[in-house]
Amino acid sequence: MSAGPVPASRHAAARHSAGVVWRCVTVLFGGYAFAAVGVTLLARLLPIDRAEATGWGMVLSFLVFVSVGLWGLHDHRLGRVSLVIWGGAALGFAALRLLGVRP
Amino acid sequence: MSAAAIGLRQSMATIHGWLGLLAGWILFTMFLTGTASYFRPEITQWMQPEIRPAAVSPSQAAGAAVRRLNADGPDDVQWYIYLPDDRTVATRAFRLLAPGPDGKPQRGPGEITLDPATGADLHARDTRGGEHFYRFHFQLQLPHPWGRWLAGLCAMFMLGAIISGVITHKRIFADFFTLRWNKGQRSWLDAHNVSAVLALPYHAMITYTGLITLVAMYMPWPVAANYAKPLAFAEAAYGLPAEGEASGRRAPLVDVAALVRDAEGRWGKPATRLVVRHPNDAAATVTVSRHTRGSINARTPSITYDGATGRVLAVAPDAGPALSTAGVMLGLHIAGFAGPALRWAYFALGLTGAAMVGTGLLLWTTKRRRPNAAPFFGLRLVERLNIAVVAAFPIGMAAYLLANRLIPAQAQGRAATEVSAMFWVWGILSLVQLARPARRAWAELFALGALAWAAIPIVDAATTDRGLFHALATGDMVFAGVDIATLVIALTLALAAWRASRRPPAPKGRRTTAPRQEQLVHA
Repeated sequence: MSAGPVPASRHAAARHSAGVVWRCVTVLFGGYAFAAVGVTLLARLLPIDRAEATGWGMVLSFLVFVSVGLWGLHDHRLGRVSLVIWGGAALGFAALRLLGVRP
Repeated sequence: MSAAAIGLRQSMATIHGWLGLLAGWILFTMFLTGTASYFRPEITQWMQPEIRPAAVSPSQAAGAAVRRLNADGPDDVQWYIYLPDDRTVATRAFRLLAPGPDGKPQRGPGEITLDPATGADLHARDTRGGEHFYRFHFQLQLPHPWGRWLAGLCAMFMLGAIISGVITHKRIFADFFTLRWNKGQRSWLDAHNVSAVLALPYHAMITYTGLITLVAMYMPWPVAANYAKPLAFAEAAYGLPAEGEASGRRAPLVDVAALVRDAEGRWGKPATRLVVRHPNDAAATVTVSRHTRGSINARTPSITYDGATGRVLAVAPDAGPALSTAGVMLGLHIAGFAGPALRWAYFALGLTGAAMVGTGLLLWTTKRRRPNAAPFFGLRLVERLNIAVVAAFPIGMAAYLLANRLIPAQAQGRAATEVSAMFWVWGILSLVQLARPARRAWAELFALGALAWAAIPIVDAATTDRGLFHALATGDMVFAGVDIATLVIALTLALAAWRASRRPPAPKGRRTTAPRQEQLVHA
């Protein structure tokens, strides 16, 4: 959470607040989506027994979520954070749509 | 120390503070109720003092329960039967009824509690028992599924708080041995660090495994990517037999007790659960699951028999590494494998978790209090919420146990009244404290908590013939254990009341200014 220097003007303060809100939304919802599509891709593509692959995806999901979440709160470049999290989630989602359910 | 590392440590400190603050109050109640849930069956026993445990083998209990269910619902679709063990004194059963004549599904009677020896209804006071704390721990008494999502969100915050707390921390090893008393903020920080660092492996384990207990709900997407029907995953992963249809041809159910004995013979371990599908149909199946005793993995193997002939239909295969990992995580969280000593260790560790969260919440306020300055609104808000949760919630828990003894055993709807007692007491005290100065509110509520918890064994002795002295004399360890635990909790709260009622020590030495304060906190 890059609480930078105290903003000088009211306008800057509003921008700062909006940034904080957007960061929280990105980390919480975007981070969940990123983790979900990440571990789902893993489960879908691991060349092992499908129940096992599913299990690994589920077991590792919270580790991915907490890692991407903490990074998203720490990195002060909000643009990069948004791009990686939302972009990654969107790309992964598209890949999953293309792949479909494991035959 | 590079500037980048300092920057990382600083930002992790901020993240840690916010995550801990926002989720702390709910986490505190989750820790207390979860810790109590390690003794869920024992609390249930204590709350039904009319029941005297009788040693009945799982196969006997299975036979008795099936005879009873067969009399009540020979045409049911499915029966779930949870067999008693050395910690539970009743057989629990659920019936899934066949659709009515109009083809609409019928509601069953819910959970049925049976006498293990006879299969008759158990005559004991109606209560949620230890089940109430257990359910609150992950559902927070909110409508399904919102309570589970909120509990999961708080667990996720907890995981983030643990990791950021470790990163922001400089001297993990030194903090093992550092606890300075009566130094105001410094002492709270020490207490927070000691309770956190001392049991760090437990905190990390219990948080992650707690999330795993509901992973199928929180993270269903891997299943969706690999299975067209989610049920197929459950069948593959947990060895559940494929759910067949009834054939429509009648065939009497075989002797289920014999099947349980057969399964136990194969495992060399007792059985814990039965699922009977389509009883009295030619396509009937009986699935027997093994008890978790002696296995950390909570997902134990099962054997499925043909319910009409007694033939073995399926032996659930051993799970692979991923599903074994998930099963072990589940087992580590629930601690069903733990014997008495390990169970008490779990209990103590759970309390260190509550202490860690509680001291963290207190630290937030002590850090921001300035001598000779009026507290700002946020500070007053957090302080009052801290009092409502840390000091008042334990009194609500005591009220639940006291209500169990004070509401007449025959009263209508008493189980719900017991639960209401907990929330009303907690809620009213949370409001009443607003009328008192904060420092007084802390001390008075801790004192009231000490009285409430100390009253439990007294009321127990006055209303049942299984009070503490009698329990000790007859070797009734469950009743003695609950009563002694309540006394220890009362003593702890009395100590807290005494500490909270003293004047805070005068600040010594050099005043720290605000920026130095920041460094002091994360030194």
